[in-house]
Amino acid sequence: MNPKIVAIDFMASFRNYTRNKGTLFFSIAFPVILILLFGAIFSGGGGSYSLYIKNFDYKNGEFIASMMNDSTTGNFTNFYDALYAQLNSTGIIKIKIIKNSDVSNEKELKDYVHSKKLKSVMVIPENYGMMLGMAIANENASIAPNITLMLDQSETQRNSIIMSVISQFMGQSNLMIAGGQNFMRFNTSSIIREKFDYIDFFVPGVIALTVMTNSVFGVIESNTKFRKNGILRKLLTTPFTRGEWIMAKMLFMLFMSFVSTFVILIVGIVVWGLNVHFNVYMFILITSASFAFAGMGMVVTRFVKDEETAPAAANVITFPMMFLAGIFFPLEMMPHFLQIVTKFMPLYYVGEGLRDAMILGDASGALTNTIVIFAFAVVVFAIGVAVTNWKEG
Amino acid sequence: MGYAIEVEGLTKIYGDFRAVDNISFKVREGEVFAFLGPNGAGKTTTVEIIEAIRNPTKGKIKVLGHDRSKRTREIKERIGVLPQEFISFERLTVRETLTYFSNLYKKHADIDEIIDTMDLRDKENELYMNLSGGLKQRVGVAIALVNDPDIIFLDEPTTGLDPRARRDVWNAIAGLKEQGKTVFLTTHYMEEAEYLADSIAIIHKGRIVAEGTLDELLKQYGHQSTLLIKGGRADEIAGALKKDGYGTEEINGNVAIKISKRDAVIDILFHLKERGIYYREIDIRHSDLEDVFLNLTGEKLKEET
Repeated sequence: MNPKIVAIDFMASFRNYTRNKGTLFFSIAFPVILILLFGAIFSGGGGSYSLYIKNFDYKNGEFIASMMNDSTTGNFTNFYDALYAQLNSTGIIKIKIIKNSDVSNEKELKDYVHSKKLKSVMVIPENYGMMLGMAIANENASIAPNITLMLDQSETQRNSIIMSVISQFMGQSNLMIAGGQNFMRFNTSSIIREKFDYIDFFVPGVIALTVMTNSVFGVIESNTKFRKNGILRKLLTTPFTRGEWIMAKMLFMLFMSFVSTFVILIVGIVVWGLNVHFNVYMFILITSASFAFAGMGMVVTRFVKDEETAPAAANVITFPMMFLAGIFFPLEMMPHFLQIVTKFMPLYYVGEGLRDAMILGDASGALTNTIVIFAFAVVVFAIGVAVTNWKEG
Repeated sequence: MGYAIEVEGLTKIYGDFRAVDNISFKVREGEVFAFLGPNGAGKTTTVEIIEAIRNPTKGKIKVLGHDRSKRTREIKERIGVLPQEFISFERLTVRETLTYFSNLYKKHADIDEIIDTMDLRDKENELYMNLSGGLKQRVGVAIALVNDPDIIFLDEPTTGLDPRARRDVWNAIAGLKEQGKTVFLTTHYMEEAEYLADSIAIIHKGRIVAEGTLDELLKQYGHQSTLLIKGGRADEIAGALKKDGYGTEEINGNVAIKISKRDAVIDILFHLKERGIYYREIDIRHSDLEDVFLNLTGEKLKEET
């Protein structure tokens, strides 16, 4: 193994590659577009913010309204309907009512918020209207109860907008009813994130996917195109050995895998506020995956030598993995038998491992997946190298 | 002078097909050796076995005095190869390409010198993919020179090129001979062999059917020149000559007579004059490698394209 020759081929690959807008697009820009696009679709951001309201006091609203003058409640016969309408009229907040049939007490509310992954919930306690009325009548603001705002603390921008809208709204109401005394007020409680966002799920998947496509198709290009163009035959007549060639190509593929990963993470962090743990598992997983998928590419080109059909053959392997290995949507969403199929897909372990390592900070999960994919890489790459032959018959 | 390449009893069998059938030949140092034959004759198989791209079924090969199967590494350092239908890295420039291949060897020729020899100076910073077919082939020949090799193998270096580009590549190859390099050339163009080669081996269906210098081949297998009588009434001319015992043939309204000695031309013209038969002009076509090949194999060398 001559390191100088390996370095020379690496540099040639680098030049040949970076001057090709097409491959550059697919290994760098494409994954970035993917996470921007899917992130936007599934994060549901933009426009107005949904504010869920659980009102334990709605049934008393009509009574309260009857006690108040029309200038406050307008055409509404229920005080709370008037309140909702005014919140909606800000244009920034969109009210969504949590029905009594879904939630009837505090405990159910907590479960509901977590299972639906709600980000901001306003809770109006039972008898709120009566207590508020009593406070106003006695001109004693301290006995007025609090409205609770449950907020997902990771959504800082969203939270500050919602809080400013609510305080403005309450400030005006207080001014109207009692000359500025704080009869209406709120406190906040945080929603602990147990589940992660789609983007947390998606970004490690896109990294796994990009490493897979870079490696499989990188190998296929160098094995079929260079064979057809006579470059492999030419190299056979030079002192360049097969081992040096494979080493050079693998180093370049690793380099590309890490560049892609880096770019994807930067976009994830900057655009989606992704919280990434960097650790050694991530490094081993990406390296192992590069070798494993390169090995698969070698095996494919051993049997399908044609430049046009080899990528199609590779698609037969990569395409199902892309959709079934838990990259675009979680495994739990699939029927049971498909989940079993998925367990045989190497990409699944790469995606899961990266998720454990980078996002969840789950060391034992990361370790298990790393071991699986490392072992797989050793076997497949060894087979790939063994079946890669430059010689013609 | 010694031999650059010695091949003895080389055979390559694929299944039932004998691609190369027990051939032997020697290439002298410093000569241009042309391996001439139609497509599928076994040229590329033979040359790729010598280059160690393929393994022979049987046979002994010596390259630069070394057993080709044993001293592979050393031989690789001393040969330069342009494979058939070679396309280099698309997005490297000419200079980068030459530097890349040069760095694979221990011994380096001066790249600037190669660029000048191959007349690539004004294209040295062009990407390979943007070059014309003729330029790509010249770069291919240039790549084969980067290690200052003792033997250069050129496998069909001008296939698919237009006549001008072909002429440019020929000039480049002729230049190599002047530098004292041994050139092993495979081709199915007889003009190429005639123009460039010192020695020619004609290969047909995996066997060498004739070998020698151009003159030797023409002398031994060319047999006849052809006299073409143009203008005038072909049937009248042919009728008259037939009476005198000449075999005639009509080609494009002209009369063609195969002649084996120069005096025959004078005799024929004398006969025609005696009978007062009119013709406009005559043309003598000497036999070429095409005729040699036709005589040897009963087949035409040229592809009908």
